[in-house]
Amino acid sequence: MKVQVLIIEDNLKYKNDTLVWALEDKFDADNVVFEPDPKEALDYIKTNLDKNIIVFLDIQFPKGELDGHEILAEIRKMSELIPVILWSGVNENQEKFSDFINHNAFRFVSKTATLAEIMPIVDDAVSFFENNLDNTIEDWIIQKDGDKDKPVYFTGDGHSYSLNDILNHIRQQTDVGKSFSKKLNQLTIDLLLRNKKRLND
Amino acid sequence: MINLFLAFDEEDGSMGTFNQGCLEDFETYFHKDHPIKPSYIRSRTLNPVNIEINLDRLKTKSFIFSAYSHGLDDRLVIKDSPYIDDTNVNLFKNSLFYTVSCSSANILADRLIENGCHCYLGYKCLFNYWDGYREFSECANFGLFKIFDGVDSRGAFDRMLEKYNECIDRLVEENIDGFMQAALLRENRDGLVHKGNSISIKDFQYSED
Repeated sequence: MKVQVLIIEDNLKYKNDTLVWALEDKFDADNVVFEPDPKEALDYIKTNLDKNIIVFLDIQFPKGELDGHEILAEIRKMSELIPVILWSGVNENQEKFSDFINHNAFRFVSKTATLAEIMPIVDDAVSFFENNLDNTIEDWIIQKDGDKDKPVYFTGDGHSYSLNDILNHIRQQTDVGKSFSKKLNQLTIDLLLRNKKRLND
Repeated sequence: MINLFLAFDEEDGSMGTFNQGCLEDFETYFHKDHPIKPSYIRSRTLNPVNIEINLDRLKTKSFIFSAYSHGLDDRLVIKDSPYIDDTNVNLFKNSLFYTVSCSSANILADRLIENGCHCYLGYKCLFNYWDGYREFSECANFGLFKIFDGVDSRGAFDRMLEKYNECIDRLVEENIDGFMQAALLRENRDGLVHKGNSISIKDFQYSED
């Protein structure tokens, strides 16, 4: 599975941090993007929503710029399916985390953490892409050919959805979006109960 | 002879294509030489007045009524207006009521049965449809075709469940792209409901004397 990493960090000294080298080693240098400008970083995410991106996000940015709280909120407006790892030197005992939690930050990692502490978290983020059903549905839609704006799914209460509509609902994790993974889980359970599939096939 | 009414909202903006496809399946089934001549009620005449005109003249005779339209718990609707609800459920005394509409099994079915409808076959959930997959209309129509073949309504219900399973399994096993559609069919299957007595086509046959 191809994964990209986006590091949103205004302090350019971290471009040569051992974490960045470790990420480049793991995912290839071409797949690790260091972006000091929050607005550029958000544009990058917007134009690469069809890719599996793990975001490392600093919390503090210069006055006048978006800060980490605001950047995460903007990312979540685009998709709930992007793991965002807060990577910060702030004292976590003093930082307000409630909105990070509410916006589903994936993890918090201190800038003083070792690679031995950080890389398992990166592996968890990769696992999230591999095992999360919403990401699977997202990939399925992205890979489909044809007109993704044509309505294909209709419900008897008068709603119709194109593949892009479904994609947006899944990324936004609306009730409609969440219902697709629920339906697939129910199908899996149904197939197992009817002995159609074995767990380890 | 059998009194048979087939109602389709084929002009609906979302489910119209599906309903039209089902209508065509029935028109093919009831070809010109078929002994049963259904009365088709299409979108433009699908309203409470026309329902009453068609059913009132039957007096106490039994009939089969099938409806492909939107629905809510307690009504069937066209363009958000009810054409079957509490105000005219009494017209369906002595009927078999077969519907592909959302949710009407939850309340309307019981109202129909309370007012003398013999049997209801429909759905308690939102009905799903994915364009381009005939499995949805095949399953939706299957029970009524089985009833026309002589299977009783409870048997037709059971055969519909089998049909749904057959289509679900086929989509999963043969079509790498079919898992989403299989999931929606599973949901339709689990929303299918039979209420009332188990009756068969011979209960609706009469001879013109």
